[in-house]
Amino acid sequence: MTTLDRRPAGGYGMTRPEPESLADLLERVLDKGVVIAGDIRVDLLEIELLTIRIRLLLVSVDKATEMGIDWWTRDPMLSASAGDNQEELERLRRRVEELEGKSEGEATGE
Amino acid sequence: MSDLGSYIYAAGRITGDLGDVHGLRDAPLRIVRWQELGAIVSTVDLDEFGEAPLREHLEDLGWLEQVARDHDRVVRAAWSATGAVAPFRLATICRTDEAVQARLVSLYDELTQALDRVIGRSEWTVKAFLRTEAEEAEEPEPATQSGTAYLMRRRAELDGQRRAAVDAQAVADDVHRELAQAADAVRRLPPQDRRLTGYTEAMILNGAYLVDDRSAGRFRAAVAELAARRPAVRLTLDGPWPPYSFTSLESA
Repeated sequence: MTTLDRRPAGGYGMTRPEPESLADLLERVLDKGVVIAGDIRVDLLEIELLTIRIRLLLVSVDKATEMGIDWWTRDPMLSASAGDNQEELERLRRRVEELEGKSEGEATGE
Repeated sequence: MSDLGSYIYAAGRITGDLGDVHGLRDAPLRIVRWQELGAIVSTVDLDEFGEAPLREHLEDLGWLEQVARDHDRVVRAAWSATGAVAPFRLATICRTDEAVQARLVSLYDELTQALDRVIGRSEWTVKAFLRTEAEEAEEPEPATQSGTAYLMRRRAELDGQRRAAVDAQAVADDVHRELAQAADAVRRLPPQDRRLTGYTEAMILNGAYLVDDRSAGRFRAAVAELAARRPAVRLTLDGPWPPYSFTSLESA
């Protein structure tokens, strides 16, 4: 079994970005495996909501912005880490608005 | 002096050594044994991993990522060294090694059964995404069109989407059934929401497959063959993973 490649394999039709494999990893280490109570009791279910938000955050920023997902820019808990991307987000948001304007124009037959 | 705890990464039948791998915060790993079983643990500071600080840290993406990757790194090292491990859930911490050993004693039967299920096997993930109609047909959009033409096209699109949704379940079941033939055990995880995947296509299958390492090539080939035969879906293959999804214990 040591001859097997332990690195994530490429998908069909696309290369998978690293952050996504982090989402898959979190899915496993938080939800799967041997689940028993240790002496230190922390209910991971309590952070389930947070986990979902993390998964959203792991979506590549431009994809998310394309889809209009930008709540983290207003979330004080996460805005610190989002700060670096602010400029890029702004640029993408302008680009999306531009494109939306264009497709509306097409839709009304102008 | 601050309190210390024993963080459990995994359990297995550990015979070899784990090489150069260190645990969280670069702490040395040790093995707590009971009969032929060993739990891989390292010492953590309860100033960081106690109940209250842990609750706080788990809200911090950077912290969580680092701990998750370290956890996985140790699990993989143990996996490579033994061929079968049962990974423990992130942040399973006992106060002492004696308490860790007590867990091994009480879980002995279940752990050995779980290890027997996964020995010499790896977990693979296959996700299926339904391609959108537009992508499949690749019809160029007319440069100009009337409002009626637009509405008709839009209605056809919506009908297509509705049909696709009905078909999606059947397609997912088919793909899963075919892959299951090349696997020793299977588990369907909930498909991730498209807002989570970042893809415009809907995920219709999020499957975990436990595959004998000697059949890994056959499994890969099965995925490739399915991908070629089903142009309506896009398949992604990831792995091999340690058998995270196949070591749940009955009592848990």
